[in-house]
Parts: sequence; structure tokens; C-alpha cells
Amino acid sequence: MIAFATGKEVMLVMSTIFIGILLYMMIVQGERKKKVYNIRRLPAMDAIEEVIGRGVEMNRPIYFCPGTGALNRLEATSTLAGLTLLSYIANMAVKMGCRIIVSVSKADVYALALEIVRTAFRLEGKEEEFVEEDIMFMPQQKSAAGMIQRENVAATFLMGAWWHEALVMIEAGATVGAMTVSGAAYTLGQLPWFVACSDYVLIGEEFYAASAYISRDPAETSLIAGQDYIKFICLGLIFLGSILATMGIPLLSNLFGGG
Amino acid sequence: MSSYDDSIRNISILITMIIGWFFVLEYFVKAPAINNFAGTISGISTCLLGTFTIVGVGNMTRHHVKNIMKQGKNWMPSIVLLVSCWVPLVIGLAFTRTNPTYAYLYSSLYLPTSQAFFGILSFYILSASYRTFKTRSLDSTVLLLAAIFVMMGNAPATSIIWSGFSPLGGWILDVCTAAGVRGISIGIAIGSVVTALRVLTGRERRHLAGRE
Repeated sequence: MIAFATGKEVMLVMSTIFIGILLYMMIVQGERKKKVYNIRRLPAMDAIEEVIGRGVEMNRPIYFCPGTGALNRLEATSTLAGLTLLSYIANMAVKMGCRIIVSVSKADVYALALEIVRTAFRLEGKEEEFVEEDIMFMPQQKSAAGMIQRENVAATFLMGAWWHEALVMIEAGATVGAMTVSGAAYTLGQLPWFVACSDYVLIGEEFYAASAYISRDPAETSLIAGQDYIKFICLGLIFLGSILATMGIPLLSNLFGGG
Repeated sequence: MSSYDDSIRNISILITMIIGWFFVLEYFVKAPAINNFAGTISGISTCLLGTFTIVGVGNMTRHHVKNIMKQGKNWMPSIVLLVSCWVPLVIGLAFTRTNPTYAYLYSSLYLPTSQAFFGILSFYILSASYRTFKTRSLDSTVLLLAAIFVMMGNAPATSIIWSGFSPLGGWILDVCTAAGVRGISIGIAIGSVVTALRVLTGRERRHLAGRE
């Protein structure tokens, strides 16, 4: 006997509407009409090449970490976004001849990171230069702080889901004069430190938009536009809910479980 | 890249799509057969994650063994690392976690060193705060003032100086910070949905070392 789970009806309706909008934008606007939406400038993305170039000039490696999140938990999307950026940064570093060091704390993410960097070398025809030991498995990610200092890295890229170790790693980079480009979304508690201590930062949704920003693919930019439409719907609901609640009609707050 | 790599990647994407959409459906459906099957798949994924650990620990061991063999940079800490990784692992596997030696290594060595490392965080907070609150621009000045009021509002003795610290600090947290955080949260939630949808429709391939 199949039945809908009780108490999830509103979420089902909203999810269907949101996914419908996104699929419409991706398939119709992006893939059929090939419409490329403009994405506002993301200074952190524009700075990546310059930061890697600095590493080449100083003959120092760059360091990348895709956060401490796993792929089977809530923070998976942040980790995936981090791995997407690893692919982009590793390609650029290999092309520019800059050594890239990666440390990963989760075994499943480690396997992907290893393959991403190996592929970057393979694509540039430099497979023999790939050093597997540069992709390190560090179950305690904060211990990468010592490695950052020992390797005297020129830049640290911290992109993923973070907890307390974020600050340790940013500060370890700062002590050796490394530039920091960071991106965080899932754990809001660490965002202030990223904003305060990094040279460039991708905050929240910017972090997820990085993939579309890199590719400028019509379907990907259409998804970002769809994301904005959903945001307008959310804003409209918040505005309407505030007015109704002020008038003593808690219709929307009851509907969405706000109490 | 070879067609073999592409085939493997396509199979991975197909499995992700099927399992991903199944879990989306499972969340909204109440049916014992489907819910139980989802539980079984979760169990299988946990086992798979366990096998990945072998790859990670294997790489770490190889890296440090190589370093010791050629007496490279920091080769002595490599010995410490290998001993501290493999000795508890072997004891734990051979005599289970209830073994007194294993318990001693965990509670008397691992936990204190881990906590000591965690303690370093307080020094990093201090140095990060110093760099952050240096008043170089209007933004950092506003940040500094907000931080001062919030800190003063949370310190009990400051109410003797001025009773307004606590309400002002609370207002900054409840109104200014909450408004900003909610805006970012909505963006993050929708961004997560978009990223998940890209994966579930097979558009996102970079995390599998693929190209668009």
C-alpha cells in the first residue's frame, strides 16, 4: 500500500513547483532556446587565475581543500560544489605549471579528488608529472594547518562545508603569507571568519553558481536565472506572510509550519 | 580521456540519477517496501564508504613510508604518524574496541592530543580577530563597532557601565544579523536544490572528473 507521507504535502507542492521552474529554465530556455543569462561578476572566481599565477611566480605550491563534509550527508551539495571548483582550479594549475596539493578528510571525497586531479594532468598530457602523494587523506582536516606551513604554500583554496577547522587553516595560510580564496555555504557559522579573513570569498549561493560562472553554458546559466525566480517567489511569500501575520491572520505561517 | 573512462563515468551518473530520484520519491511516500529498500541502499552506501577508507589510509601509509625510506623532509614525524595510525588500528581489529590497551590509547593519547589541538583554535581566533578588526575601512569599522556592542552586551559586568549594552547587542543579533543570515540561508537552500538537480539530471560531471 502506497500513501503520501503525512505532514509533507506543502513541501511536496512547493518542491514540485520549484523543480518545475528549474527544469523549464534548463530545458526550454537553456537547451532549446540556447539563452545565456548574464551572471554578475564574482571577484573570487576572477581572482583564481591571478592567485595561481602568483604561486607560479613565487615557485610555491597552491593548496586546495574541498571542506570536511561527506557525500552522504546534508552538506553533500557544498562538497560537490567544492569538487567542481577543484576540477577547474586543478586544470588551471596544471596548465600554468603550478604544483597543487589537496587534502581531504572523507574517504569517499578522497577517491573523487584523486581522480579529478589525475584527470587534470592527463588532459594536459602531463600524466607522468602527477604525484599521487600530493592528494592527501587527512581524517583530521585541521592537521593540514601544519602542512600548509611546512609546504609554504602561496595560496589556499578552501571550498566546501566547514566547521571549526576553517579558521585554523585560514590562519595557518596567513602565517606563511598565502592568499586565501574561500567558499562556504552549508555551515553559516563559519561564514563570518571566511568573510573577515579571506582575500576573496564566495558566499552562499555564489558558491553554487561558480560552476555556471565557469562554463557560461546556456542550461547552467538558465538554472541560475531559475534560482532567482524562485527567490522572488520566496520573497513574495515572506512579504505576504508578514502582512497577513501583522493583520492577525497566520495563514501562511501555519501552512509553512512557522507557528 | 579514454572511452572506457567515459563509460565508467556515465554508469556512475546513471546510478546517481536512479538512486537520487528514488530517494526523492521515498521522502514523500509512505510504503514499507519502498522505505525498507531505501534503508537497505543506505546500508550499502555506508559499507561502500568504509571500503573507500582503505584507499585513503593506503595512500597515507604509502606517502609516509616513502618519506621514511628516503629520509625526506620531516621523516621522523612520519614514523610517529604511522605508529599512531596502525598500532590502534591493529589492536582494535584484533582485540575489538573493548580491549584495555586500545581504550588506553584512545582515552589517554588520542583524546588529549585532539583536545590540545582544538585548544589552539582560541589563539587563532585571537589573531584572526586582530586582523579583522583593524579599522582600515568603513566596513571594518562597522564590523568592529557591532562586535564591541555584541561582546559588551554578552558580558554581565558591562551593565554597570551602561545598561543599554545588553538590549543593543541583542538588537544587533536579533534584527541586523538575523535578517542577513536569513537572506543568505534562502540563497543557500535554493542553490543546494539547483546543485542537486544538476547532479540528478546528469548535467554536473566535474565532480567525477568529467567535462560538460
